[in-house]
Amino acid sequence: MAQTAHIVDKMTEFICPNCGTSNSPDQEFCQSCHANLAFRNTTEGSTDNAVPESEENQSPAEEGYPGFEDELIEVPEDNNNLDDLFKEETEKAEIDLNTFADSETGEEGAISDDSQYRDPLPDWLIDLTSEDVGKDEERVLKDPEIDEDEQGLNNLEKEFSAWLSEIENDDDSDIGEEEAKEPVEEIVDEPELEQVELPEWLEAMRPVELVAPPLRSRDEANELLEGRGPLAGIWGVLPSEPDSAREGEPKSASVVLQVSENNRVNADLLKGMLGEKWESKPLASSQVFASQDYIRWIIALILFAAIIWALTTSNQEQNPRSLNTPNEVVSVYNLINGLTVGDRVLVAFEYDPGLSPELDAAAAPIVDHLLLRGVYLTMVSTSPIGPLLGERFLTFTQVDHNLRTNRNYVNLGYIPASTAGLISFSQNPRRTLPFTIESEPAWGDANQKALLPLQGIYQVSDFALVVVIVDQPEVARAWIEQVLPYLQAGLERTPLVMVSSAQAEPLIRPYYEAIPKQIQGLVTGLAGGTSYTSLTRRDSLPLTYWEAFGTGLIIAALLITIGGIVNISISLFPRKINDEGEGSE
Amino acid sequence: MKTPVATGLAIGVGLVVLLGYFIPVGILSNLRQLLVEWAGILAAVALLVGIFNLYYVHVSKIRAGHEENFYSYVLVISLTATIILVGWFGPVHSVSRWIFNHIQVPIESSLMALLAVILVYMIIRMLRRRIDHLSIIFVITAVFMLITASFFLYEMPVLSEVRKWIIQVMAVAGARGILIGIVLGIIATGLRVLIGTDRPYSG
Amino acid sequence: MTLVNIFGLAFLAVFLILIIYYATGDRKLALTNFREIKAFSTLRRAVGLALEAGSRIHLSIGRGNVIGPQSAIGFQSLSILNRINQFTAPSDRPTITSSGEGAWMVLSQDTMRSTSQAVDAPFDQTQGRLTGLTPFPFAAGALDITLNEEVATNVLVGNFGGELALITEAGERGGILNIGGTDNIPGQAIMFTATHEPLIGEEVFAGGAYMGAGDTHIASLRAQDILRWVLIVIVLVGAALKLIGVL
Repeated sequence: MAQTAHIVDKMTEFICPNCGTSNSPDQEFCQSCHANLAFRNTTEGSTDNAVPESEENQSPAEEGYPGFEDELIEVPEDNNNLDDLFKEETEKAEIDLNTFADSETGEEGAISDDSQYRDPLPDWLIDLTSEDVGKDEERVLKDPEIDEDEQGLNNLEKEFSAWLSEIENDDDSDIGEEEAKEPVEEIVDEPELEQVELPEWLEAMRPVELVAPPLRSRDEANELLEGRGPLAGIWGVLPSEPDSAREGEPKSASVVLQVSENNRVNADLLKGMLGEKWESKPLASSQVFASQDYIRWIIALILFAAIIWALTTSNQEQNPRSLNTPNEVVSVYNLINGLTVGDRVLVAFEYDPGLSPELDAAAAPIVDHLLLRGVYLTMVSTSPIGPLLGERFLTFTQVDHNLRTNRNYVNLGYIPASTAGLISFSQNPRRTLPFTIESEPAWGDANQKALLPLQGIYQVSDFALVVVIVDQPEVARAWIEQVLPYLQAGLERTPLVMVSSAQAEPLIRPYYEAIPKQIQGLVTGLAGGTSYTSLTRRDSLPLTYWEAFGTGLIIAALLITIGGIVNISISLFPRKINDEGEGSE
Repeated sequence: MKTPVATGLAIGVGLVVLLGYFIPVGILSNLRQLLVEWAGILAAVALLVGIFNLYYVHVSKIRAGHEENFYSYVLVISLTATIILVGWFGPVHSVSRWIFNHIQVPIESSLMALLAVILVYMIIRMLRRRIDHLSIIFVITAVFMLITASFFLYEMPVLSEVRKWIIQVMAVAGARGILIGIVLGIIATGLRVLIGTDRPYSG
Repeated sequence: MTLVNIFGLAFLAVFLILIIYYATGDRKLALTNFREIKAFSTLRRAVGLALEAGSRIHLSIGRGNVIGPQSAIGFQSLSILNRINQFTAPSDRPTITSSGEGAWMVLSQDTMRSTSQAVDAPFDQTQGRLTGLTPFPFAAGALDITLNEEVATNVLVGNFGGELALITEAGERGGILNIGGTDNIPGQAIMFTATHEPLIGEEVFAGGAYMGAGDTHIASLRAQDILRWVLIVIVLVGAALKLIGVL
């Protein structure tokens, strides 16, 4: 549907004086800005008050439109035929804005060629294209279909000409304003024009921009004069195309930072705040020692000092040879005393290197006694590190015996698979451990004898005695539960004795005290080793440690007692919040 | 999603080993022993895998440039040197024995000695953390045992008997009670693995 | 087949029947039927706090042999690891495990890998570590994890001995929560003094049930309770018979 200029449809709509929106005649309030359109009622029968007006911006159009009435279309009272009436007019000068829009993209001056696409202008409007308006406006206003020889300009026509003047570029934006003013002045300077009383419908047609003062101050420097399209000549119209799409040379942007004085002051202030005095301070290093560390160090120093003092001042002549030897220790002594020269004894090293000081001291007098009896030792272990511990034990504690490997003792090495490996070794030791730790054949064959410590050994019950040096009750239980049945299967039951750490004694002792006894002897910790030396009456390792050991125990007990009393006393009083937050205390 | 093959294999092997312990039938016992030996071999291989994992973890820490990677350097260097030396000379060579006797055993013995200090401090701190009848009994018993085990009071007539009674009766009774409960838990765990509801392996 | 073997097989059969009985049908038990174990409540809360605070949980399986009686507590530790890792695997600092046995290292990695895949989270092989082959080197390696890996909670469930004191002491110095249980009697004594929430005796074997590992875990708890009373009765009756001279 072709869009017709609003001036042709002005008879069927009412222009809001506030926002310029077209409204139907029967509306009381503008459909866009809800302004009161009631002023229309006051204009009925009055041509002077058709739109609000101010004294300052009294439009010259109020003085009358001498030439305008010539363009008036006589509207019959019966409005039924209004549509047909205006339809005839529109057919004469109907423009297709779409076609016009396409032609807008043409070069400058093309607008003059598009005049045919414009709304058909009334004759009076065409007459506005006087020499005073300028050639550009003339090109805009010129409509070849309209006779240019219409009657002279009036105020309204001149102002229309200003609106409709084309603006080629921004520099010419003021031209229209100036030229729009000129016609106004010219209109004012023509007292010869006779004012007539306009009919109501004509008053309603009066453009708001002429008669209605602007409700807001117009900053004409910032508003654009529309130069194209149906709104050409109107100020403050939103551009139909973005500024970026308009033709023209791009503005050159300044690379200089526009800094106002206030900005400079603020920047200096911020710079000062970020200056040296605001540098981040290094965090205070945490204390080397917290309070709890002091206590640990004090305990350590006291304990070590006491033990070192006891070690350096101990007199071995005062060793506790008169200790009441426990029965389980005596049993071991008697068993070893019952061995003969050449007997084979199995010794299992089943402890960790960390407990070697205790168990080396506990087992040293026993192994010493065994070697004194002239027996051969066979060493095994279910721990991967056990064979090396055995070698170390013999090297450090049995120096006096001048032992030679594979002559006085043999080290069969590691029994794999823990408990299952014990069963396998008990059933068939030759198959389970065929080589020594030096990778030499241990058991021999038809052509070669077995190593001396293993001659005559075909099963585990062939050993005269089994000694297990152990620190964990689970390992001791494994030997008792898995190997003992095979030890007792022989004609002569092979005794099983244990040298255990003090921590395992509560769980191993029941096996000694069982009826029948499952282990025939038990030597426990440093005390057991010391007791054993009182039987053998030989200087040995336990005697070196016994006094220092006792001193350490006493000091530890005192520290625990004193510390416990202090802590209980502290707990009885309200506690302060611990800011250090160390631990859970 | 664990496949039924792994579950079925675990259940089957577990049943064979379990029944082989209780039913001394020839083939069952032999099969049990064979499977256990295989398990031992796998455990040994797992030990090697673990050593590789240990090496890999610390090399990764070194490569990542962590701040606390000094001990990673120590571990990697010492592990590499030990493997080379012991692998070249053998486990019973004097060089290998020197490493064990003069480095490993003293270090572990020292850590054990450090335990004495730590345990004393722990008992003292325990009284600060919680004061209840169990804690007080624990501390009193510990102090008593320490004192009576020293050479001063080792053979004191009454105290030595009390000490023996605590060790041979109270401690044994408590330990056995705990062990019974632990054994029940062990059996329950084993049975859950046997019936396939507990699968600590992936298919 | 000796009498001891027969009794042992019968005992196992009864145990198994009880587990199946309480794990199936309408006889399924809820955890509310059991007493609260504060250690597991604390552990559950610690997992949540670790996720919120972006810290890590360190779970140590111990140094027990995978072939032998010490393997049971290791499997229990893996059950707990499975449950914890379901929550911590997608976090910034997933769980790290330490063990003193190569097989536990492999199994722990396997558990974490499968759990991570189930929750669509990445898995790093260094999360499961072998820290040492003997007790004290194992403790030293676990101590390194405790001090340098942003650990907030030490979960120590496995076979531990005296070396446990080193790990817990490092945790105390770092303000780390220590929770744990062991089947080693000397280790339990240290656990009682060193940890914030010790698990005494068979409480550690209830970890799977209290951490929601499955119905069979709860059922096995009930079976344990029943058979414990059976053993108590047997011990008392046997002691009485011994006292009166029958046995």
